[in-house]
Amino acid sequence: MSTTEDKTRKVKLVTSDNEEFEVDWEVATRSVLIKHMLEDIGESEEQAIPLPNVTANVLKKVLEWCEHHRKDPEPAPESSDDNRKRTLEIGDWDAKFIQVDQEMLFEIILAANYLDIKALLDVGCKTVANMIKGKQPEEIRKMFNIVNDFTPEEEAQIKKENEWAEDR
Amino acid sequence: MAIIYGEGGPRWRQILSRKSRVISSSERLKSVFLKSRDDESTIHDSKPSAAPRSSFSGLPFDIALEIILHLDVKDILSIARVNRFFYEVSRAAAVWQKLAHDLMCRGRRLSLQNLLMPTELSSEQMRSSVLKSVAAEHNWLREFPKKVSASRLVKLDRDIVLDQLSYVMKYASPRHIVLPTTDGDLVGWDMNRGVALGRYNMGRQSVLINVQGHYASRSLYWITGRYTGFENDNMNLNLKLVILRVQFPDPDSDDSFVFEELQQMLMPCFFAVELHFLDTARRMLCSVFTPHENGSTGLIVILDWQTNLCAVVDIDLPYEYGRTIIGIQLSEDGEHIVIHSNDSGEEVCRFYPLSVIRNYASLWDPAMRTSGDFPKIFPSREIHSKWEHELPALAQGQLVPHTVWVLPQWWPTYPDVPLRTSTIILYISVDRAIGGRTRTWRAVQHYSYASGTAESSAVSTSSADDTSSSNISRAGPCTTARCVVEIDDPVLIPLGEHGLPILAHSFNHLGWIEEREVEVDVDGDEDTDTDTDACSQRVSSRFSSSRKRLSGLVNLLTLRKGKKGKGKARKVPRKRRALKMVTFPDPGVSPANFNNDETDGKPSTFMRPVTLDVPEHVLNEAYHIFIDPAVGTVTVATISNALHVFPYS
Repeated sequence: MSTTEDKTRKVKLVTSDNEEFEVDWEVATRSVLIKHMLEDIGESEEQAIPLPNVTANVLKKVLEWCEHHRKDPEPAPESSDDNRKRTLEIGDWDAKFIQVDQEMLFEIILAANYLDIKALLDVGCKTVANMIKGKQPEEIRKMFNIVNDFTPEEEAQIKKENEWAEDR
Repeated sequence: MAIIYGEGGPRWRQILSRKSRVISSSERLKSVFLKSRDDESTIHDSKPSAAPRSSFSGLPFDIALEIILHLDVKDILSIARVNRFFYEVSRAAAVWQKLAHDLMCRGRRLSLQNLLMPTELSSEQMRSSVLKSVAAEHNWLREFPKKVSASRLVKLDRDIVLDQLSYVMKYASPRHIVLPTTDGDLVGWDMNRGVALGRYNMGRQSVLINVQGHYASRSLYWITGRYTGFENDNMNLNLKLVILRVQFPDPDSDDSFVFEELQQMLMPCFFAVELHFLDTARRMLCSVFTPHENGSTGLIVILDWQTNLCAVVDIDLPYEYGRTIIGIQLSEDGEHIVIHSNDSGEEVCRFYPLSVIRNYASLWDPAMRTSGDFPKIFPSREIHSKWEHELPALAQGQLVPHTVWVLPQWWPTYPDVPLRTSTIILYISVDRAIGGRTRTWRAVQHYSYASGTAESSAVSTSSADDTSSSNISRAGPCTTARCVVEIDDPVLIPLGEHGLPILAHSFNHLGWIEEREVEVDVDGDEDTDTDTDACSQRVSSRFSSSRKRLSGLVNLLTLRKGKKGKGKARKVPRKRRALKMVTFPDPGVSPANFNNDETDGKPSTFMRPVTLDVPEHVLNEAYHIFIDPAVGTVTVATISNALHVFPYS
C-alpha cells in the first residue's frame, strides 16, 4: 500500500464493550498488532477491527497516546532489544499522560502489551519501576495492595540472603 | 476484492492467536524456571487467582519481568521479598544477565565461578556473581567500609619472600594465587590448603613487566624480563623477555599450576621503554621506544610472537612517558592499534591500521639498532575528546609521571560490552625548598574506549551528558573520563630516589596505606609502644634500605619513652596507619557528577578516599596490598609471611 493513501485512510476499532473508534491509519498502526492485521486483510478493508481484550475507556487513553506519538520514528528492530537503554527517564508529555490511577495504569500496560505498542509499554513499565524505586518490601505491598504469601521461615531465609542490602 | 470478516471470524482468530503465541513463549520460560523449585505447584497456584488482572501482582509473568528489568539490584532484592510471585520473577535468568551486562559495561569485574565464560554461567551462578560484585561495590563506596566477616589468614612457606616491587600480582581465582618472590620465582599457591602447587623460576633480578588474563583458558599471560649484557654499556644492555602462560588449576581440584614458556626474545633495552600486550589470542604485543635522533615515538609491533614476525615503525609523535601513551589496545574490529595520548588536557585517540603496519613486517632481529630510519606511519583516524576540566592539579608543571599502569579489561569479551582500558598514572612532585624535602603524590585514572568502527566520522567531544551508567554503550566513538586522587602521606617502599607508595590497583580501584602523625592520649604507665617498636624492627631488618624512613619513627618512639613516668594522661604524637581506597566513577560518568562535595578546601575534582577497617597491626607489617573487586576482597601481605584476606562482600 502506498503512503499517500495511508495518510488519509481511516481505521475502525471495536472494543470489548462494543464501542467503535474511527482513527487515522497512522495513529492506529502505532500498534504493531493492528498494523499486522491491516496488512493481512489488505488495503481495501472498511471492516472494523475487534479488540476483545481492551475496553473503551482504556482504548481511548491508548489512542490519546498514539495520536500524540503518531509521527514518532519506527521503533528499533527486535534485535536491538538487549541494547535498549533501560533508564527510568520518561518524557514530559508521557509523564503527564501516565498520571492515572493504578487500575488504569495496569490496564494501559496490559493493553500496550496486547496491542504490541512497545514504547507505550515501556512508559508504563518505567512508571511502575519508578514507584517501586527505593521502597522497602512492606511499602511496596502497601502501595500495590499485595498480600504477603511467604511463610515466616521463607521470609527470614530471603532476608538473610540479601543482608548486605539492608543497611543503606 | 472485498471480503467481509465477521467479528471473531476464522481470519481474526488466526491473527489474534499469533499474539497469544508470543505470550505463551514467555509463559514457557516461566514454567521452565519454576521447575527448578521443589514446591513448584504451590507457587504457581498462589499467584493470579487472588489478584485482579489489572493489578501489579496480577500481571503476566513477562510484563512483571519487563518492569523488574528496569530496576537496580537493591530494588530487585526488595521486590523479591514482597511475595512469591515477585520472588520467582526476580530470579529469572534475564534479570541477572541484564544486571551482569550492566556491571561489565561499567567496567566491573565479575567473579566467574570456575572461570567460566559468563555465557556458561547458570542463572543462579550469575546471580551470586552479580550480588558479590555489587555488595563489594556498595561497601567500598561507604565512608568506612566494613568487613563482612572475619579476615582469613593464609600462612606462606618461610622461603617465600614476596617481591615487593612486583605490582602485577593478581588473583584469577579466590582459591589460587601466583606469588612473585625475591628469588625470581613465581609460586602458584593454594590458599585453601596452604601449599605450593607449582613454581617457575624467572631467574634472579627478573621483573614482571606486564600481565593480561585470558578467562576462557583460565590463564594469565605474563611478560617477564631480565637484563643481560654489560650494565654500564647502554648500547649492549639487553632485556631477555619471556612470554609466559600461567594456567590456573580448576578451583575444585587439587591440580597444579602449569607454567609454560611461550617464547623468549632478546631485545636491546632501549627498544623496551614500555611493553604492552595487544592480543594474547593473536600472540601480539607491542614495545615502545624512542628512535635516537628525533625523540619521536617508535613502536615494535610483534605481529606474532610464535613466528617472531614484527614491524618496527615510527608513529611520528614526540615521546613523553605518561603522556604519549595512556592507553593502547586493539580496536574492536581487531584491525587497528589504538593509541590514547594526553595532549594538553585533551585525549587524542589515534587508529593505526594493521594493514599498513604489516607492510613493514620482517622477522625480529635482536641485533637491530635504533640508528636506522624507521618507516613513518600515520593514523587513519584521530579523535579528540575533551576531558571536562584541565585539572589545575596537573597543570602545576612540576608533577611528573612516575609510573604508568595500563590495565586492559581482562574479563572475557561479552556481547555488546565495549572494550576499554583503564590507565592509572602515578605523578610525583618533589619540593626541596620547604623544610628539606616533601613529596606530593597524585594518581590519575583514565578510561579509554576503543571504537569498533574506525572509519566512522562522528566525533565525540565530551562525556558531560552521560550521567547514567546505562548511557555508555556506543555513546560515542571515544568516551573518556579521568579523575585525580591525592595520595597523602603514603607508606613508601624503597625504589630509586623517591620510593614508591605501596599501592593496590584494579580496573576501578586504587588503594594505598596512609601513615599520619596524630596526637594520641596515653596513660603515663601504659606502654603502648611495644607493638610498633617490635614491628618496626622486624620491618627494618628485612628491608634495610627503608631504614632511613623507619629511623624517624624509632627516634620518635625513643623521644616519647623519655617523657614517660609522669603518671598523668597526656597527648603524644604517634604514627597511625590506615588503608585508603578510592573507587573510580563509572566510565562515561564525570568525576564532578560523582563527588560534588568540597572538603578541606580541595577542589571537587579530587576523589575522596574511604578508610577500610583493616587493623593497624596488619598494616604495620604490610608490604604489599591488592584488591580483587570480583570477589570483594582486599589482601595484605605482611613481612611475617602471611596473607591477610579481608572480605567486603
